[in-house]
Amino acid sequence: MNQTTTSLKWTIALLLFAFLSACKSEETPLRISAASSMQFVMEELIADYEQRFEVDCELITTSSGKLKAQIEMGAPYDVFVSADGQYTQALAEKGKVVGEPIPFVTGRLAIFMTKGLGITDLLKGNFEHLTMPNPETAPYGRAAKEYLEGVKIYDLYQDRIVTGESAAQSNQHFVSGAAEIALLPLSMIDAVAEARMEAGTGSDRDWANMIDATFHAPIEHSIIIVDHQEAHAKAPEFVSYLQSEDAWSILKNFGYSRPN
Amino acid sequence: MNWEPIILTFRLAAITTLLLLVVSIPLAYWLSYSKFKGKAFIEALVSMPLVLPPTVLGFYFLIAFSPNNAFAAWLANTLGIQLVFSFTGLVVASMIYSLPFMVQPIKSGFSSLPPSLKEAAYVMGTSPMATLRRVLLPAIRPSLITGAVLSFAHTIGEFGVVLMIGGNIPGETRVASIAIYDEVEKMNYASAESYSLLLFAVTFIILVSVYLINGRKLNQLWG
Repeated sequence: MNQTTTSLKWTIALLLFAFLSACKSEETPLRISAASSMQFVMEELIADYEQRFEVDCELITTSSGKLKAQIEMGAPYDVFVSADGQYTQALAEKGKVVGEPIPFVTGRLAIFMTKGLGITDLLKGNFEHLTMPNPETAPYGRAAKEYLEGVKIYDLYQDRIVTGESAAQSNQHFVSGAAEIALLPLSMIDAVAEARMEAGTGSDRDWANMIDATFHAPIEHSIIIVDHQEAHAKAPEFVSYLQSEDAWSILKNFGYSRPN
Repeated sequence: MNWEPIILTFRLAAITTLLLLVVSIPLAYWLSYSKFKGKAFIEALVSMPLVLPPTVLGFYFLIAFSPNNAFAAWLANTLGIQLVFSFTGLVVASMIYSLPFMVQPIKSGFSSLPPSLKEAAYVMGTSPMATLRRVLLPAIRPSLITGAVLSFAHTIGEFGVVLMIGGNIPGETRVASIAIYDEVEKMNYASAESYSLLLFAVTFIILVSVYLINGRKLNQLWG
């Protein structure tokens, strides 16, 4: 073994060590977990909050049910914005919450149809696939199920109804063109329409409309400050920002209404 | 484009591979030379991650790592180690997930060596430890490299387990595969595409270079 290979070995070992021991020196950001139906509005809210208060934030989104399960298992989220008040209530009962769950906004369900289909086609089953979020884990899925049961087609066309594990996954079924009808959060229809245009599946025969609120139980969103070991000091400040008029001016653009 | 998930992925793969090497050499040595009757059970256990769906592994990890679990709670309270939703947890899970990819090649490496090699070293008075280090390991170098590359690549490609126990935390558990999933969920297809392409290119280059130098230049380099 000659000297060059020895020094090469050492160089590799040193590089490897530097790479492996690289640690994050900066402060932990404020970790906000939110229902995936809120991802677009939360991105705007967080950008606005970061600008006003100069706090570094991170957004983690998936279905409210999964976030609730993760928080139960000790996920280090500072704030949880749930699309369902039951989840935050359940967490409060398990002692995972600082203070009480705070009522946030009420969300609305929308129906999005393509290929010139109308409500009559939905009722008559003139479609191949309808996508909606999973009613077991996503609050909008539960509302969608209640709506389809209300118009008496849920059991009838069960084989044509596909579910995404969250509102976001259901959107993918729809954006890709795999499903012609989607039941989705009203707050997402603009983003979905835009994504369909980009993906080349959108057309001027697409249309979307709000589902009448009498068809399903209100989708009451709720906020909690999560009780965990390394809680972020700015969590209460962020929660009060969410309840401010500044936040409301963003929220109302996404079709949310004030809590009942 | 955010490089954090990519760097995190390679850190995870590198740490997992190094630790796996340390664990797998004695394990593979034992599996190939031991005459213990229950060996088949241990061998089957080591290979289980090959056949089990990642969701099953992820589910068990979630239960085992949860603060509701006595051992996990003890780890968290006395040593301050949290396994669920943390980088440390991902390393532990990845080690088990990639274990067969490291143990199998090393084990077949040991088994393929003629017994006379070991016996000759013993006859000349070399201790078993020195025999392993100076005779056996150098002889199975290609198997070690294969094991390391497979474990590294397999950890980079890990998804289901990380999804279940990681929780998608940037800089901590949001590895590249999760970041891609997340970008698709957000309908940021362009961003998902650049992550995917980068991951494809980097892993392809790693594998090609290993196959190119394995058994030839690398032998000279580490000789």
